[in-house]
Amino acid sequence: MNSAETEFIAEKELVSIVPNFNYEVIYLISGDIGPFRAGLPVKVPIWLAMSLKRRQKCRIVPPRWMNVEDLEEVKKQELNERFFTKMPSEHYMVEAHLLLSVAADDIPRCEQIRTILKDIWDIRMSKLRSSVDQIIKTNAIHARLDHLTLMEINSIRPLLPHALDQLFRLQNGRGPSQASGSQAFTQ
Amino acid sequence: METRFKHSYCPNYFSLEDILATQERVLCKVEKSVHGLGCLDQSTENEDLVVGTTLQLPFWLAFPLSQTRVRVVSVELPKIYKEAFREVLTADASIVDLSKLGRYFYEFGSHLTKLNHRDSSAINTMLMNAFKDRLRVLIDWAQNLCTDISKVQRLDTLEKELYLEGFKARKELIAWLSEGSSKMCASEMVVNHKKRKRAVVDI
Repeated sequence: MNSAETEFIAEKELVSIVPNFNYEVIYLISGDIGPFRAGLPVKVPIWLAMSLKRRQKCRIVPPRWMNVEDLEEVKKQELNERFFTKMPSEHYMVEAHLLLSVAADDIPRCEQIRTILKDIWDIRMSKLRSSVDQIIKTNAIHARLDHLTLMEINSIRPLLPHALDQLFRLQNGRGPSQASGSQAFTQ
Repeated sequence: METRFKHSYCPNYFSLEDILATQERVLCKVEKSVHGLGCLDQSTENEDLVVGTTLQLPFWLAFPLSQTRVRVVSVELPKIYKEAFREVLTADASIVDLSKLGRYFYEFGSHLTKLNHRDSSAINTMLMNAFKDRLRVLIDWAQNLCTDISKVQRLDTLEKELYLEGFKARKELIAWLSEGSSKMCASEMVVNHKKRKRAVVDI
């Protein structure tokens, strides 16, 4: 999985928009969208919101967490906690990335939001680095990845899983008797 | 992105890494005379391999010969896996230049542990600890996009492959963070997959 695929998944998240046109319900396999009434907010997936925004057909209402005060709070909490804290959205980084790129004029103080998000990302990355260090050093059997978002997990793939696979292989020795058992690990 | 890690997860007949790793020569001492194989030892004119001769054999040959019921050869551990060297690696593995010690340090090492030598478990522990020590540095290099060629050259083949995988993924993530992705592209597997032409099938 790479960042483009993660982004693709995150684009399915819903966001509110205020359209400036009328249109009936759109029936999609993933669910119905609309109906669109000019001036009335409606929830649509991010990919549609971006496309409409590019064509100046709507105004995007930023998600509730996307404001300077709330994000400052999240950042403070992240700094104080030893473990990862819960993020306001499972795809906070991707959502912010996409919305800030097309709808900067709809989001107040977007430059500040961008800086805070980058700070939060960096704090979490350094936490991730130190916990990876610890897993390897202490020979831990398992690790909990609570509250880690998809993009963050993605950032240590494929390096960490591969490295742990190799470590496992070295650990088990590789006599002929183990060979058949370890077939399952061949990708 | 197809993240296929090519290193064999278990030794198998078709794995190139395995073949290359077992190509490494080890010093053997003949324990039982072998009729008509004097040609293996180029220093003598003798027609037979006599007891007590020492000679270098590739590991793939030495290993089965040392495992027979009546042992034909006894294998001596290569210098880099002996105790003196193990201590160097235990002290600080991260600064050792593994590529100088043999391109398949881990692969060959784990093959050696199959010999049931009395040092086998010590070698195994040493390999694991060395890998762990070096892994932390390696992850840092990959995550920080370190392109210092002199550092990367110190890695063993296995580590080098890990590093390249990590480097590629990291570079892609950083590119996404700075400009966002434009278009998704088909995975390598799909692109390289050649369809058979219908005409050929019909014939």
